[in-house]
Amino acid sequence: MRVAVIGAGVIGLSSALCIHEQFHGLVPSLELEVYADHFTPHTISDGAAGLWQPYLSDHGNLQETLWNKETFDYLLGHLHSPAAKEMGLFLISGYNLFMEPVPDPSWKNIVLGFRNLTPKELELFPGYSYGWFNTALMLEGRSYLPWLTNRLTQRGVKFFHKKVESFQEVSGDGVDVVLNCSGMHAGDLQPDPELQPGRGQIIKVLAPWVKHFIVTHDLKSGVYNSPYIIPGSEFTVLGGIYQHGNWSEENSAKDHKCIWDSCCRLLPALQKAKIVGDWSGLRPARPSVRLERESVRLGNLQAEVIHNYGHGGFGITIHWGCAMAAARLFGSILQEKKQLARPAGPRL
Amino acid sequence: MASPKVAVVGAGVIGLSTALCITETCPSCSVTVLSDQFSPNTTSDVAAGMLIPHTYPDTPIHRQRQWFKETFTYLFAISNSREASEAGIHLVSGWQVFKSTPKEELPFWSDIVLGFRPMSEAELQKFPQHQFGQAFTTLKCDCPPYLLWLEKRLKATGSQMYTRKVADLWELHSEYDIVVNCAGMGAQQLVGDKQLFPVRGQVLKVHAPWVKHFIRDGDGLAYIYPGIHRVTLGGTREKGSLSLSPDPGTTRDIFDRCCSLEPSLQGAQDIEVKVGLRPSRQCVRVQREVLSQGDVKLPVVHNYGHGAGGFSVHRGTANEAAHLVGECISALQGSSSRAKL
Repeated sequence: MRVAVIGAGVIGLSSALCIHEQFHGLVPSLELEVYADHFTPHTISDGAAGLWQPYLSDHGNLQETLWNKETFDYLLGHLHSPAAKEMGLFLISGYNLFMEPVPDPSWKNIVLGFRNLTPKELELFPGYSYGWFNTALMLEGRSYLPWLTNRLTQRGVKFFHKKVESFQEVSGDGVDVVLNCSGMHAGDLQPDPELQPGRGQIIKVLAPWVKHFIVTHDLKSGVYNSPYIIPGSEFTVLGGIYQHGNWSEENSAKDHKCIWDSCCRLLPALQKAKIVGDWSGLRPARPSVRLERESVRLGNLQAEVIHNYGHGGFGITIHWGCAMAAARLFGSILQEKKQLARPAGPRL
Repeated sequence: MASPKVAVVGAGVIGLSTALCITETCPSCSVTVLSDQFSPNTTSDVAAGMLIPHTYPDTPIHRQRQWFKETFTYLFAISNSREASEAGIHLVSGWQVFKSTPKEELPFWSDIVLGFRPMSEAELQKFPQHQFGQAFTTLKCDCPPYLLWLEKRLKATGSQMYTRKVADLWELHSEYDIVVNCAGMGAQQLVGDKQLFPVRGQVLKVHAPWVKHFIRDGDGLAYIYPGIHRVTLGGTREKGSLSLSPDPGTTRDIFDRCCSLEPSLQGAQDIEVKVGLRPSRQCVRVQREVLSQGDVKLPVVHNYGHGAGGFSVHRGTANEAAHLVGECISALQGSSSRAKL
């Protein structure tokens, strides 16, 4: 039973691992292959700061809130394991700031120690009159992706550096299931007008005195268009850019100035931080995550495709819940093919 | 007295901050800091510099509260300015955990730190051996940066600093009008204070930049304090010990205790071991005294005996000592005008 995974960002690698962990014992012939044009450290997951935090509102999409919770709980369970450091996983606390009172978020009981800010704390942030404090998790892509890659390699999963142009390309020759984790470029495989880039730019700085994340919100300008500061294990990420529909992956001097000025206003202590560099990337934004099965007719063959893309700016936050949902879809495919009862034969 | 000459003995956090306060409250004074050690070789350099007060048994609580509040307010402003990184001052959040619920659930300083509250059940799950905990946000003064920043501020006022071992305060009476004794542990010999005793502390300074929170066991024997570049792991409280040599068995014990609070510390690198003697006393001595030898008088202001809580109250005691210096000056001016009559 051969499974082709398209995409080697956090979604592709974690879905592959989840499926292999759950099914290789039951399907001895299970062979996974990962195809991608970019591998770590060149994926969008590598550029993300790695803070576990969903958007403010789930727009009633309880499924996504559940996947976020599953991810948080899964990661929390790994916090004390010896693998945590290698995974790039650690606890972090910090501030969400608003210019007016807002309802509590869907994730208030998922994170630890969620509470409103006290007046004295708000003195730190002139211009903001309301906010939250909570403890969440960091999962740094530039550590997590290599860790996932190592786990997969140990399990015999093969990697191919190649830009896949069509499902047909990978689904012939005995591949029964395609796991489509192609993120921003899913539209190249199958048109999806709902998938749009949410361009982001960040500045990486050295500011090891910053121990908290600070995420500001401007309800008028929308998510991530307000400054944020996220301290990692090596660098601190400054951001606050979300440009819907902008496909440019070039750093913009105007965006750099906007990020730098607004973050230094937010945290004057940043003024002495050493700038390491800028980075831009495209968040694969969609009104909701596409996580579903599709039978695709390719010539006289039929392949099962599991789509798992469109995670916008919350891929790391939601990844494991989605990986497990993808694994459930895979399980149902196996049931239908009765693969769980007998060894795989060639598909006709 | 146009320009009173003040000597401050000691260049740890107490000596330097007291000298700075004197230049602020008495701009006409000339202030000189004299010490056998300067940063990075003071007791203050060993300390983590966390603003979590130590309770002095014989100092009234309202006075300790006042000292802590002044210190916290002063450092809070610096932490939120562009000077923060140079001064080594930053906010840090974390947890103080207890194996059994303490008698006093609300310490006197709980409303001065930020966001103080009991830990939730979910948060306590991270500490399976502990029943109760407090979560809050406080400040940390990293040394050497903070001491170097104080030295820089002092130099900018025109104050002088000299390496000099002062064996007796009377050595200074011909050159200086007022002596301020911030000698810490050195006060034992300098002024023969038998109420002052060392409490030896050994710490590890490690590289573990993924640790973003402080964790302290309420028993004081295990703590993890993340600084700008290093995390301080501690500790010990050995009363009466004068040994400044690191003990390898103690190093192992501290590391183990801290790893059981924070397992990821197993991956910590570049372990450096340091030892300091906390200059401990039942109450901090912030007091005026006039020494006399025959007709000669020497006004002295004492500011020492801060033990485990130096950083937490340093600015408050420095302010108080500076006021006492002001009183000494008034007294000298009063007596010199009387002498003129």
